[in-house]
Amino acid sequence: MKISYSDRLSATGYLFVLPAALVMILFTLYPFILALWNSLFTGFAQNLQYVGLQNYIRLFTSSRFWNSLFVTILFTAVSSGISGFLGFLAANWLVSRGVRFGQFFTAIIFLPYVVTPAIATLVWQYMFDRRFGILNAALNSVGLNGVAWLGSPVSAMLSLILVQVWFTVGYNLVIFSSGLQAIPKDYYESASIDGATESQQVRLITLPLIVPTVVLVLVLSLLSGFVNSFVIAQILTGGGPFRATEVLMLLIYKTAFEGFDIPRANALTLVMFLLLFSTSYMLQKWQDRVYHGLY
Amino acid sequence: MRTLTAKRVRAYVWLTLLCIFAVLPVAYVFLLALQTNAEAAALPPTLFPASPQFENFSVVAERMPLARYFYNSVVFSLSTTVAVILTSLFAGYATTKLRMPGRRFIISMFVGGILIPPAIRAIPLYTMIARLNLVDTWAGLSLPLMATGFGLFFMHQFLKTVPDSVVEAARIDGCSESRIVLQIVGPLVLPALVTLFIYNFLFRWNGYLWPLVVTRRTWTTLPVGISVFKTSEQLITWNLIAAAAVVTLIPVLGLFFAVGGRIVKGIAMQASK
Repeated sequence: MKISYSDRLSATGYLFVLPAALVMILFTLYPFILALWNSLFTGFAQNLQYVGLQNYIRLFTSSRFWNSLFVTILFTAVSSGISGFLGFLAANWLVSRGVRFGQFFTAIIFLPYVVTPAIATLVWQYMFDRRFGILNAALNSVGLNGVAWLGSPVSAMLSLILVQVWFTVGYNLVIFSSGLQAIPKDYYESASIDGATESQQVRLITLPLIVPTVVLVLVLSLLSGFVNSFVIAQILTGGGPFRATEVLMLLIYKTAFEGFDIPRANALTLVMFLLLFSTSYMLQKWQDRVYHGLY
Repeated sequence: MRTLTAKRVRAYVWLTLLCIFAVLPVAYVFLLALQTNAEAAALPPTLFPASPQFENFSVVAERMPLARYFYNSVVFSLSTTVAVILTSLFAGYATTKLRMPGRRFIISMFVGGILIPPAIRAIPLYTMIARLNLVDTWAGLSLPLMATGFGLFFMHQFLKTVPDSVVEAARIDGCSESRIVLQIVGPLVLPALVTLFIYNFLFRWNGYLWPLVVTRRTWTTLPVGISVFKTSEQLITWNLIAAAAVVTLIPVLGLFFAVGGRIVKGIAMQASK
């Protein structure tokens, strides 16, 4: 039997994919299977005891979990909303008003995206400081009273959101700019000849045509919201005051390394992952329903 | 005409405000890093140091193993990035030019991987690394990040644009497949490889949750080391923390000033797909 040329190419193909596939299977897929299995036990290391779905039942009946879920959704929704809106506005100014130095503005506003999140959050923490922070100093200098930024549940959450908006607004600006540039200019020209105002143009031309961009921004915001929420909350507030900023990722971390309950932390991870996955899936479905392409 | 000018002026004002918002913390940390202890704890807070204290850098390097953390960050970020480039280049070549059966499944595995960044799978991965007794080792920290969904998908997309005729011509000349990848296709897609290098390096250098979970002391990276240093200090000396922070930021800011345009363009390109 002779091995054909295309079979040989296929064999080479599998060989070339092997290192990447090995890493993906071994360190992405397998850990999730292991986590699923591990979440059915209690205890740690060699002393595991099978408990079935107990970890999940305990999870769904614990008010701490529901609090975390609520806090995470609040943080992600509000920060994505503000950051997406600001990013869209800024992109709209840059693209449609013929602003000069557009690339310069874009680069500067984008800067936070490359800054190490843990480091930036540390700096923000000092800026938020009630006595020594420059934010309160600025407020004092214009005759206003300083704020206990991280002191009360509401203001702590707002401070977290402020930092996340700082991280993501430039990134959203870049994505929206690229989406807006794809819309042909003559759409707007013929609309303004027909007498459409600027806000009508945004509402009736821009928004329907950038649905895919909006969905992309939302999915990415969701992801970065989950990832960044840990860094920001752990460093700024540690989840306080009164667990008002204990986001899911932080609860998972604390469950594993303060409560030493790895199985439960794995159960939590899986629940969170399902949540993340189904939300981005639903966003995708929504896009399929309302977006009919760029004509 | 007048309304357009007024609108444009308003746009400039808002954009400038956004710029100040974006730059403020970064500028502040550089100023803070050069202040004396007294200036950093003064009321009301000082912005500009009277005389820049460059010795803050050597002082903080004595108070914490800053050089070791720096070394760890470099080794971790560079080794994983080089590995990602190689695994993505070869896998992307296979899925676009070798067309073996089952490649659709392989591609969808890459795409699925994008949704699961290292921070999301930290605890499941930790469970596994702990079982392998690899906690606080280079292998435990780096091996899981030697291929990423983002890198694989990115190279797959880019290699699709390389014409098949290039590969076929090389085959007729008797080139082996691995030589085609390394000596012909690799150089052809060099811009994509450079972009991938920059992104991956940034992601790893800036990573927090995964190094926090899987390292103890030996392999602690800069972001984790500095935040641990801050929590362990009795009396927080913010000028020293800022000095350590500046050490962490210099490589990423250097990268940003050197190739920032490329980073921005890369995102715009990804978004338009």
